[in-house]
Amino acid sequence: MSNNLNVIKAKLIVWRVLKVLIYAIGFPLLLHRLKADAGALGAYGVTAGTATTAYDIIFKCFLVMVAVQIIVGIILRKKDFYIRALIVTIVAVIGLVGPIMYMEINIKSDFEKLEAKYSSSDYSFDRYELQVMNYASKASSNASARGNFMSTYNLDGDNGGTEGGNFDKTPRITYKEGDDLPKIFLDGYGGRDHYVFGAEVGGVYSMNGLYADAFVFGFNQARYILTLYNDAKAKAKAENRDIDQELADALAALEKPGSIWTQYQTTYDYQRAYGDAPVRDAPAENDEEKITLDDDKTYDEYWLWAKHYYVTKDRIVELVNKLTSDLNNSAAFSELKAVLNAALSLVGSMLGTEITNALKTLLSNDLSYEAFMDLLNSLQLEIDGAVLTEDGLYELLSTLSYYNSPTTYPIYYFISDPDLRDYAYAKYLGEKHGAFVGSVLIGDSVGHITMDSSGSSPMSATELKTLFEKLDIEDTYMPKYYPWLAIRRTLIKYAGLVPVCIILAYLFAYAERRVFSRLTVLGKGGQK
Amino acid sequence: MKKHKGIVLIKLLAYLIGFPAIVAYAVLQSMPVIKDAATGTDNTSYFPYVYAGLIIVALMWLLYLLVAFITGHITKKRKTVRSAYVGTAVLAVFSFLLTAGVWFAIDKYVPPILSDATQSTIYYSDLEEDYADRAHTHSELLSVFIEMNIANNRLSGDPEVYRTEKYKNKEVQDLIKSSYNSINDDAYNNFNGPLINMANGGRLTIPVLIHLLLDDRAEPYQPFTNYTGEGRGEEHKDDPITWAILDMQQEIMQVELNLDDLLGSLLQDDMISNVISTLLTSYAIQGTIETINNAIPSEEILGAPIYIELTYDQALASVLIKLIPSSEKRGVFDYMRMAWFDSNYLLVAVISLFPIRNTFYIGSLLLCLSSLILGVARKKQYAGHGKMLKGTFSHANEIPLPQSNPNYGRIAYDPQNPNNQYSKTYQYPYV
Repeated sequence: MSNNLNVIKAKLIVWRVLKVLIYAIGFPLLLHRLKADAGALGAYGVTAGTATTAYDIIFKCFLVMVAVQIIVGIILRKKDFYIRALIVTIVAVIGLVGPIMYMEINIKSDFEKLEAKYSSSDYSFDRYELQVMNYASKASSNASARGNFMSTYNLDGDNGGTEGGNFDKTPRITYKEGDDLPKIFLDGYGGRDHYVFGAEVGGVYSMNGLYADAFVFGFNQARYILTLYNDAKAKAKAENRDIDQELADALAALEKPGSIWTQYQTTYDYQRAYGDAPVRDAPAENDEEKITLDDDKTYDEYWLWAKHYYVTKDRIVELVNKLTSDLNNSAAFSELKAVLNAALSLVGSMLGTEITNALKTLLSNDLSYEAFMDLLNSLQLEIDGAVLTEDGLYELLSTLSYYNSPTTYPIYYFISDPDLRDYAYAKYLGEKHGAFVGSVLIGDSVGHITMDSSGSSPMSATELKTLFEKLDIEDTYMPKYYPWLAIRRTLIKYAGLVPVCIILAYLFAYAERRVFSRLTVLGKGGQK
Repeated sequence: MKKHKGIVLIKLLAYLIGFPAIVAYAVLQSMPVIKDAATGTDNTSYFPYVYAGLIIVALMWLLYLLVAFITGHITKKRKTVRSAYVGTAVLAVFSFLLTAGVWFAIDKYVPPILSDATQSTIYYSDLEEDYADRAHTHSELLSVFIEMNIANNRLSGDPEVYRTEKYKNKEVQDLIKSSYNSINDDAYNNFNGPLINMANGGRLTIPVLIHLLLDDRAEPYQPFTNYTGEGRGEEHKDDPITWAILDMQQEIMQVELNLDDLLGSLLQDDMISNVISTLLTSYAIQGTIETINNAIPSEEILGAPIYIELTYDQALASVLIKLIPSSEKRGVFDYMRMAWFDSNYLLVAVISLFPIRNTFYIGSLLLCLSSLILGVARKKQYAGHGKMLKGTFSHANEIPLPQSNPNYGRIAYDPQNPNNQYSKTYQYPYV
């Protein structure tokens, strides 16, 4: 009797283990397989994160099946195992074949429509059958095309970001067309409305509608600026115009006395930022010396003075005069001048009489700012075909230390032709702003140009156009359909596993129950 | 009685393979953090912070003993199999939560706090396994700081006292504080707008560098304790000082002027290169550079010192122009290391937690095992005395079942047929 009982106990355990085991390799195995197929959608690019959509769909099918199983178990408690197994299997089959049917009918026809739609474009849209086979490599090509653009121009995510606050501590404004226009933006000038550059893609702005001081472009801003810039150039070229000359003329006209720009320069706002005298030497202690920029925020006028933040002529004169006066008093430097003078006599013939004489004059007298300027004038150095003068030197310096106060409009705001104005903004942002934040968009070398990195070669206008068209088209269909293509690949191969496992699990449960009922009979003292 | 002795021995063994083993291993693992004999570094002056990890181990041991005592006491008092089982389960789950569970929570919630507190300069993942190296780095910071400041006389007492007492020395502590305050408020917070973030964030562009060097900045205000260098006499000992961008990163910038292009084959003549070399070391040039170096800190120029060094490298055939920051001379580190250093005692405390991380994760297995052994021993111990009552439900012997409904609920123990478990289990199903 005891032996008999042990055999039955062993059988019970075997059936129970088999039941659990077979149940556990149905849907879970399917999800495991799906992880490989959906994982191919990648962690970057337009399909990034859509693998979760695929898991969700299959997991929901699993939940529905479990729910049906429980309900069937309760309602049909007394019914045969076969009936219960049948109902649950039917539900599982519907749950699994459904997505395949949906794809074969709906998605296939959607793809045919898309194929027709893009047949005239440069983008080659693959047939459904090819997409089904190659979705993983297409998703990865999308990701690498995007990644290549991002790294070439050293961009910061899709929508960019700031590396810190504005120089003058004025607020940064996150804004996109369609949002309520924040009150903190300036109010426009001379009958012109306030202008926010690139509002249709948005970004982080200063009060004047330019990007905030340390705003690093994201994919969307870089694309907007480059497209605008390249399109304007192409259009002008097609019409035989020189857009850069037009811009130079427009800016020259604005610099003339009486223009709207020169009028603007006399306003309080402009004078506060760029006026000659700083309001004070140190931040204000009391509210009287603060100005209200927003409803309840006050800012210290001290910080709004733009001359804190760029290299002025005064600053250079001060610097050079201090250095030269110290050198003039140095015995070592006098000795050095003597050595250099002697050396000049030796190599003078190589340098030419004019330069030798200019250098000799410099070395024979005390050094000063004026002496250096005299030297500059006599050297007649040529840069880009033009002789470098004192003004030219500051022009060069201003490029390197450029600063536009966030509280005033830039000169480009006043260009009356909106297309030319936008071109000017794009050029300024791509060149100067980009050079400041280490994300140059326009130039012979672009992207990450810093003290220890020399940037990348730019992409041509054609390359960019092709890239953006590809990404645009792929953005519309890949995230929507690709998770389904991953599901399709998994289901076609492995869907059959699920019903088999369900049926076997019910059979094993039935076998377990049979052994179990014999056990209870024995327990009651019944005979075999 | 003999059997009872054996059980006591097993219980003792269970207690020994549990926490004492964990503690021993934790102490062993913590040694490189506390005092690394191999490298001679030592964080013991950060008492009691450096022992934070071991203090936590000790506290957890106490908690474990408390729960072990309570569950043991309940089993002893109730004398039921169920109470032994429940006691074992409670102890095992508690051990797991106490060891692995606590670390699950730390692993989840501490990483963002740590990277925030260190401005993303120390990541949790850096510490997980590599804590010994990190402890070494932080210990070295203290030794190097003391040596730098003995050398520049900011620590002007007996050097051996500073070297022995290290962080316990009040003067050292104050100097760390004032050094950090100066570089934080008069440098990090004193550069305009976004510049310093851009420099630290891999965007040190030429315009950013020019702004950093030449823009106007607010006056410094943090006293820089005991500093008389750069020609400042005793009267300016504690006055505030300004810092240049190079100090923030303590990086030497080097420009290489290659003479090959200029002089070509001439350079191959030893005499020519000797002339260049001699010229560069001459008083005329070195004295002039000294004049420039002295002028740079004036407000009209940079407002903060940067030392120019001019040398000739014969192998490279180049004149090397080096721009050297003043921070080392002044006795401070770059900003990132200075920020760590200011809260070094806290970082050392955080680092001291990591040697016990793996110990706790692996130890959770050991504790669960020892809890189980303890539970088995308890059951045997009390059953051995014949006091343990068998019963699936704990109150079987306390609350009599209604006689009218023998099939309902709990099943009474049948002393006539103690082995027939199936009759109980299956005949009267649970309700």
